[in-house]
Amino acid sequence: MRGAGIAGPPRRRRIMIQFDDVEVTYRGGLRALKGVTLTIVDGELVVVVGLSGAGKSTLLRAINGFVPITGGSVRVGDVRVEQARPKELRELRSGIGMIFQTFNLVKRTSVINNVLMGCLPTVPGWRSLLGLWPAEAKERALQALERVEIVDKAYIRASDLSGGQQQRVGIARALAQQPTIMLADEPVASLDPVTSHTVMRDLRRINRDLGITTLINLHFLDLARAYGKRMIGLREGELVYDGYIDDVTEETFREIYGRAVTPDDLLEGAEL
Amino acid sequence: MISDRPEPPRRVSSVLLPLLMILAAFTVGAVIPDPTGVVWGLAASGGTIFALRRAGIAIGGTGSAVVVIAGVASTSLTVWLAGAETFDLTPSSTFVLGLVWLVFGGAVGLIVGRLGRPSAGTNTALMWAGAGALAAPMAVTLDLLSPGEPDLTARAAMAVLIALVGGASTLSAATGIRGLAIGATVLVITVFAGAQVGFSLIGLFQNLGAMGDIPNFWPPDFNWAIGEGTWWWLPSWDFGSPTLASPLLETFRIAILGSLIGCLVALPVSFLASRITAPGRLSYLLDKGFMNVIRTIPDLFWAMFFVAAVSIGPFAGVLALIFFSLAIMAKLLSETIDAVDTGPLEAARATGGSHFPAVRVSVLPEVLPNYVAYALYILEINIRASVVLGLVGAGGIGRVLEAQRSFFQFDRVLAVVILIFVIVFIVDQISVALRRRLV
Amino acid sequence: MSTAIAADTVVTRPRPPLRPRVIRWLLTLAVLVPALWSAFGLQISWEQIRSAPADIWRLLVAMFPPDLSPEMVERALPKLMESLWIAWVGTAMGAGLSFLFAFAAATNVTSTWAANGTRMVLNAIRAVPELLVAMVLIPVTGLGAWTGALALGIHSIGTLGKLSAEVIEGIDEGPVEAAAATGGTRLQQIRWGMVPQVMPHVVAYWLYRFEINIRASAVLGVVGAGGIGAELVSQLRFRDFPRAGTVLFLTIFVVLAVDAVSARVRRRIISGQPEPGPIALFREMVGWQRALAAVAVVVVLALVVFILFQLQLAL
Repeated sequence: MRGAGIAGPPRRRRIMIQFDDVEVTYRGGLRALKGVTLTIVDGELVVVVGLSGAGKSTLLRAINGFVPITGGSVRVGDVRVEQARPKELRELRSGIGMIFQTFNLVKRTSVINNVLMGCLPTVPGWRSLLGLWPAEAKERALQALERVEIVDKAYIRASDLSGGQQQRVGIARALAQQPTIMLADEPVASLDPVTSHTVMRDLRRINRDLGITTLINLHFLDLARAYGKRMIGLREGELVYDGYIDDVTEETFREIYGRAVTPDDLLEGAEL
Repeated sequence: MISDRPEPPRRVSSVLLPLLMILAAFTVGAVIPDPTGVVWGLAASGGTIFALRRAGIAIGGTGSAVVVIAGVASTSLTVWLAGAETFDLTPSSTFVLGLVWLVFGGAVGLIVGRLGRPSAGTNTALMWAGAGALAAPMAVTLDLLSPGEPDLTARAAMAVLIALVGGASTLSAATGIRGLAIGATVLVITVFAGAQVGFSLIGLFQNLGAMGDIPNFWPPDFNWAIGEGTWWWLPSWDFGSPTLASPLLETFRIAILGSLIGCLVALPVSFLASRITAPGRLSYLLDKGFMNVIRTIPDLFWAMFFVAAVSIGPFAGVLALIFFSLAIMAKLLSETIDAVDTGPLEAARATGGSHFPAVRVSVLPEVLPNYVAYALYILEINIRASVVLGLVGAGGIGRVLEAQRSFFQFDRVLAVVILIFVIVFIVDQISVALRRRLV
Repeated sequence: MSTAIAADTVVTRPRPPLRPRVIRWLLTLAVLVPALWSAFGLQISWEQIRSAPADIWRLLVAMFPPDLSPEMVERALPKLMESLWIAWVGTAMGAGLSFLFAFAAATNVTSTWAANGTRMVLNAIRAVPELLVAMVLIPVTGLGAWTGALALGIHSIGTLGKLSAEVIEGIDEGPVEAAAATGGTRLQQIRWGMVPQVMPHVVAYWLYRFEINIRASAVLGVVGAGGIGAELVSQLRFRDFPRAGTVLFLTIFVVLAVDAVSARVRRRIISGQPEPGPIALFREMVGWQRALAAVAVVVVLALVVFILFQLQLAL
C-alpha cells in the first residue's frame, strides 16, 4: 500500500472530497470560509495549517456535515453533503472517522466501550441501547486497539489513561468505523511534544498502511513539515496555499500567518 | 499629591433614621382625628420629604409641592374609601386602593427616578402601590379595620404598613441600598403571614404546659404497636390487627416498587427534558413544561387522586409514588445531563450513529453514577412519603395512624410515629453512606 | 467501503475482567429481589392493573373542566392562600432557628464532637415527615394553621440546618484567618469572615425550602393542620370531581408561579448578577418562541383576571 499521499492536482486517482466555492457564514455573521475550492483524492494525507480562527475546523466539519455550508457545494464520494437527508448524512459519517483535540472520550466507561462507539452505525439500535454488542463489533474494536498498540488497556476506564493514550483510543474509535476518510481536528494540541510525535506517526502509518484519506489540522509548522506531503494553508477563511509541503518556504508561511514564523508556531520551538 | 477620598459605601444603618422619620410621620398623622385625612396626608408627605433630605437627597420647591399634593390626595381618598359604609374587602377594592397609592408613589418615584435610574423610580412607585393595596386586607386580618368605621387604630395600622414598605423602597432606590427594601418587605409579609396562621408564642407555651392533661397522649403505647410475639425479642409487629398483612412491610413494598418504576420511567423522560439530548427544541420544551407541572403536585395529592381513580389500597400508593419519583428524578437527572461535557456526544454523532444510540453510548455512562445516587435518594424520600400515604387510604402504615387518630388514641399514634422515626432514621443513614461511596 | 484493519503488532489482548460483570449481576439482583418481593407482597391483582389506565382517564375527564364558579373560587382561594402563609411562616421559623444550628453543626466552627452531635439531632428531626409532626402536635396545639406552620418549621430546621452546615464547611478559610489575624474575637471572625461568604447560598436554600414547604403545606389539611388539603379531601369524599379539579388546578397554578419567581431570585442571589428582565428575554427569542411566549402570557393574565373576577362576584 505504498504511495499514498501523492500531492498536487489529482490525475488518475478517484476524487474523494471536492470543495466547490464553499462559503460558511455562522449565525452571528462570522464568515469562516470564503469561496474555498479544492480537491482531495483517495489515499492522500493533507495537512491544513493556519492561525486559530482561520477556518481550519470549519473546513473539516463541513466535510462530515457538522457545519452546514451557506454557499457552494461539498461533495464526498458520490454524496453532496449540503443536500444529504439526515439518514444519508449518517451513512456518510459512518465512513468518516473523526479525531478531536480534546479526545472526546466517555471518561467514566472502559476503553473498549469507547471504541465500540465507532461500530454504532453497523449495530442495530436496540442492541446498542442495551449495550449488547455483537461479537464481530467487539472483534473490530479490539483490532482497532491493536492497530494503535494499546489493546492491553482495553478494559481500563478511559479516565485512567494518559493524554497520549486517550488520543490513541480516539484514533481507534475512528478506525473501528473502518472509514475511508479520517478527519483529525488539532489532534496533538493538548499533548506534549513526545506524545505528539507518537500520535502523528500513528496517523501517518494508518494513512500509508490502510490507504485512508486523511486530513489533519495543525497549528505547529514543524509537525506539518515532518509528517505532511500536501499542505493547505488557510488565512481568514481563504485558501492561500495548496501544494507540496517540500515547496513551502518562509515566504509561504508569512503569507498564511500574516507575519514571520515565531517559536510559538513550532512544537519544539526550533527554527525551521 | 492630594486625591479626593471616595464616599464611603452606605450601610443599612445609615438610612434607618430617615425610615423611622417616615414611619413616625405616617403614624402620627394617621392618629390625629381628622375625618378628611388631609392632616394625615400633610404629615406623611412632609415626613417623606424631610427624610429624603436627611438621607442626602435634595428636593426642590416644585418637587415638594407635587409630593405634598399627591400625598394629601392618596390619604384622603384612602380615608374616604376605607371608611365608607359600602367598603368591602374584594379584589376590586384592593385594586382601587393600590391605584390610590400609586398617586403618591408615582410622585415620589418621579423624584427618586430623576436622581439617575428611572427603573428605581418605577420600582418605588410600584412598591407604594402594592403596599397601599395590601394595607387594607392586612389591617382587616389583624382585626384592626372593620369597614364602615373610620377608626383611628385602623388608620394607624395601615399607615405603619404602607410607610414601612413604601418608605424603605424609596430610601433603597434613592441610596442604592437594596437590603432595606427587601428586609422591610420580608418583615411585613412575615408579620402578616404570622397573623394569618395564628402565631402565638404565649399560646404555644400554655399548650406545652398543659400537655400532661391531654388524655391518651403520654406515655406512648409501644406494647400495642409492637405486639406480643413468640419470643420477647421477636415481637409480632401487628399493630393490633394480626389478620392484616403487616402494614410496616407494606410501606416498604410500596416505597420500593414506586421508586423503582418511577426511576426507570424517568430515565428516557430526563433525556428528552435536557437541552443537550432532546431530539428537538419543541419536544424539549413540551417535556420540560410537563415535568414542571407534574413537580408541583405534592405526594399526598397524587395519592388522593389515585385512591379516587383505582380505589383504596396499596396500588394507589404505588401509582402515587411512581409519579412523585418521576417528577423529582426527571428534574435532578435532566439538570445533570445539561451540565455534561458534550464532546463525547459529538464524537458519537461523528461516527454516524443515530440520535438515541449515540446518546446512550456517550452521555448515559457519564450520568449513570449520579442516576444511581439520585435513585437511592428518591428511595429515601419515598420511604418517608409512603409512611403517610395510608392517611388518605393508599396503603402502608399510615392507615394504622389514621385509624388510631380517629379514635383519639394519641398514645398509640405517638408510639407508631416513634417507631417510624427510628426506621426512617436508620434507612437514611444507610442511604447516605451508600450515596457517598457512589459519586 | 470497508478496509481491513488486521493487526500486525504483538501486544497481547487482555482477558475481559470478571469484576465488573460480577458487580453488574450483584447490582441487578440487589434491585430485582426487593422489587419482586415488593410486587408479590402487595397482592395487586392483574385486573386492577389492566383497568387502571381507563380508571385514571375517567377521573381526569371528570375533573375537567374544573369548577371555577364564584362560589368555589371563594371557597378554595383563601385556603390556598392559607397554605402559602403556613409555608412562609414555617420556612421563616426553620430559617431563623436552623441558622443557629448550622453553625453549631459545622466542624470548622465548633469541635468535631459537638458538630457531630448537633448533626445527629438535625438528622433525627429530618427523619420525621411533616405530616407526622403535625399529627403529634395536634393534641397539644389544636387543629389549625398554626399547628401546620409549627410542623413545617420543625422539619425545616432539620433540612435547612444540614444544608447550611454543609455550606459553612465548604467556605474558603482565608477571610476567617484574615479576621483572626487582625485580632478579632471568634464571634467577629464568624460575622465578618464566614457569614458574608455563606449568606447567598444559605438564602438560596431558604427559598428552595419555601418551594418545598408550599407543597408540604398543601397536604397538611389531610390531618387538619390548615390549608388547601382539607378541601381536596372533602371534595373527593363527596365525589365532586370538578371541584376537586379546581383545587388541583389552583394549586398547580400558584405553585408554578411561586416556583418560577423563586427560581429566578435564587439564580440572581447565587450569581450576584442581575437576571435579564422579561422584556430582554422576549427580545432574545426567535419567531415561534415569541408567539408561544406571547400566547402563554395572555392566557395566564386572562386566567388571573378571571379568577379575581369570580372572587369579586362571590364577595
